[in-house]
Amino acid sequence: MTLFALSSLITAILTAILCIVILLNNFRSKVNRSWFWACFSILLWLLGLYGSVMVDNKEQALLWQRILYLGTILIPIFFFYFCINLLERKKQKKILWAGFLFALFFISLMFSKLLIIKIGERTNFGYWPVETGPFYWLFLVYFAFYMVYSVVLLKIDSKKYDGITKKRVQFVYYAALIGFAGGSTNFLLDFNLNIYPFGNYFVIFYVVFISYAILRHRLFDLKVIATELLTFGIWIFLLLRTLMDQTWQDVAVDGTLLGLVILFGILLIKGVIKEVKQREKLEKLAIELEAANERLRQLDEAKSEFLSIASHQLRTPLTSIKGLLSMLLEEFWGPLNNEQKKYLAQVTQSSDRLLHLIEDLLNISRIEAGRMQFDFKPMQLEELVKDDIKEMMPQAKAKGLYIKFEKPEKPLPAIKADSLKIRQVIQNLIDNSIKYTDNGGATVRLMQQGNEVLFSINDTGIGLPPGQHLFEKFERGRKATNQHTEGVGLGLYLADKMIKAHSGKIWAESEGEGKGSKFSFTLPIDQKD
Amino acid sequence: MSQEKNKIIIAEDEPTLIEMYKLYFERAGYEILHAENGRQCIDFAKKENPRLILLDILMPKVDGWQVLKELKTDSKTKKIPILVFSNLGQVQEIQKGLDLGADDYVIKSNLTPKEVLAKVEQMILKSDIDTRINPD
Repeated sequence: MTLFALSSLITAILTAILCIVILLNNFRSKVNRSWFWACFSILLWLLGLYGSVMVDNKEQALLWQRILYLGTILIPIFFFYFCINLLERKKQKKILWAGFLFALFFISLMFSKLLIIKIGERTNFGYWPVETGPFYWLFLVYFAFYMVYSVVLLKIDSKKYDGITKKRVQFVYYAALIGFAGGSTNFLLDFNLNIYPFGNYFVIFYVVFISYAILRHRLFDLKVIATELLTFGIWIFLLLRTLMDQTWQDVAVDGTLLGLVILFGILLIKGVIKEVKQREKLEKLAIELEAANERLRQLDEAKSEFLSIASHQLRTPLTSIKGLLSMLLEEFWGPLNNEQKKYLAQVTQSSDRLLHLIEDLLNISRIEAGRMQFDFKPMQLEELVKDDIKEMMPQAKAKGLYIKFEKPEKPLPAIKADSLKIRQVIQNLIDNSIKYTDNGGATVRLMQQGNEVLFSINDTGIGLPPGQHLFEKFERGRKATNQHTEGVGLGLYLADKMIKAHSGKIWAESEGEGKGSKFSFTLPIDQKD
Repeated sequence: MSQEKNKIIIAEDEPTLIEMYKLYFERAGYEILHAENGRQCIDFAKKENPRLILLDILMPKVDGWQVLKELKTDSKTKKIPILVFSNLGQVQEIQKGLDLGADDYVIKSNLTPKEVLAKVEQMILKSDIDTRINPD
């Protein structure tokens, strides 16, 4: 048997196996069914080819040639049918039916002299048409048209898909190109062009690759495919070798080798599949992560914009409340009596507190969004503390409380800090002392302690029970809940965040309930400034 | 001259606020030109030669950022002191205002009209001194 005949036979057997596998895989799928027919047409052609080589008389050769031509006529139209199903194209139905009519027409011509006039022997390749009829050219046009059209559709549609579907369509496209480029060499002998007909070798790729593309639904990766094909190739080679061995010793050696290669081949394929699966998973995760990140970034932007606008909108009415109240108190529109003044001052305090609260809430949102920005500049803490005390004094006086300030023994060095934020912290602490003290007052101290500046405020208020998490959000002294309803406990939480942002520390001390409390914070002295 | 000395522009679109500032500043002896939007503010600044501009940021048509850009790049108007008074108070917004050439930036809700007036008088004084040192 020649290599040409053998290759035809092996390809035919492989194609027949694949035909069955394709049907068993999914009988309901149109893609599977249409590819079955395409494979079947290839099978007819291969059998015809094999038969034409193996027979030794013209009568039988004619039968095999008819089978061969039946396959050849059906190949392009069944492939086109398969492509339309694969690509889910509906508009090409008419062209498909026209193709089937042409195919029937050419099949009927097989029994006349219009398609092939005479067949004869060709060295090594068996019987072959030696004289073609007048319709042979039309047949070639039909063949080329459906082939080229199918390939063009595959190329166009591969752009429409993405991911695994795109890969599959591309795979079919390349397999078709290889298969038909190779297969076309088989026509050349019909024109007395003495070129080797490579068709049956290339068609192996066409059949195997496309079947693979259909069967492999999930893991469609070139690395896996290459590994599998190579391994199967080695198995088949060793199997054939073993079958053709002459002595039982050879059979034993080759058989053992085959067993080992099968075992390691499976391990190899499994390993590659695992690796590729992991890679695909990672790729998928990376894409998801990127999308999630982008969403977060957009949300963050929206939040920031919202904060900006919300703070603006909340402040606008308060500006006129505060402004007009101050004008009333300045007696802009005429003198006020003492009671009017007293209560207007209280309204002013409430509106100031509301402003602070808004500021606190916005700052907390900013801190939690990681958007709090600090403006670190050298500043004198003592000046700031004095200003703050002056500002809070009316509030203390209204409750009959004192605020004392104990100056540092020697002037403090300048520290690098965001003065607006530190001012807020100090105001919050003084405000707390006033709020939670009914008799007495608060003493503010400032001193240098090594490399740090220490601020403390000591009051004679309700004190703290042990074990409180004062610096957490919405946490307030238990007793405070009963006595005071203002404030939501944001001040200390915020103070903690702000002092920490300055690399400082903040803490509270108390001898116990009713014994007053002491709040302190430290800020580092930046030696460089 | 004395008339012109006290002419200031207030660019502000909130009716309650403009009424309040107008009352306060007029009683303090200023002539107020009220711009309801940025476009009007730029026109006034070019025609009326004011001593100072009180500029809000969020305004219809042309906003305060645009006003700052136009006035501070025009040689005729860049010497007019501009006090941005806005309720936009994030660090980056204040920085943007100063980068665009604002002479100062205050958060409206933090100041009473009295405090705004004090700020304005201080800025006019400073601008007077600057002009005397560098007349051109």
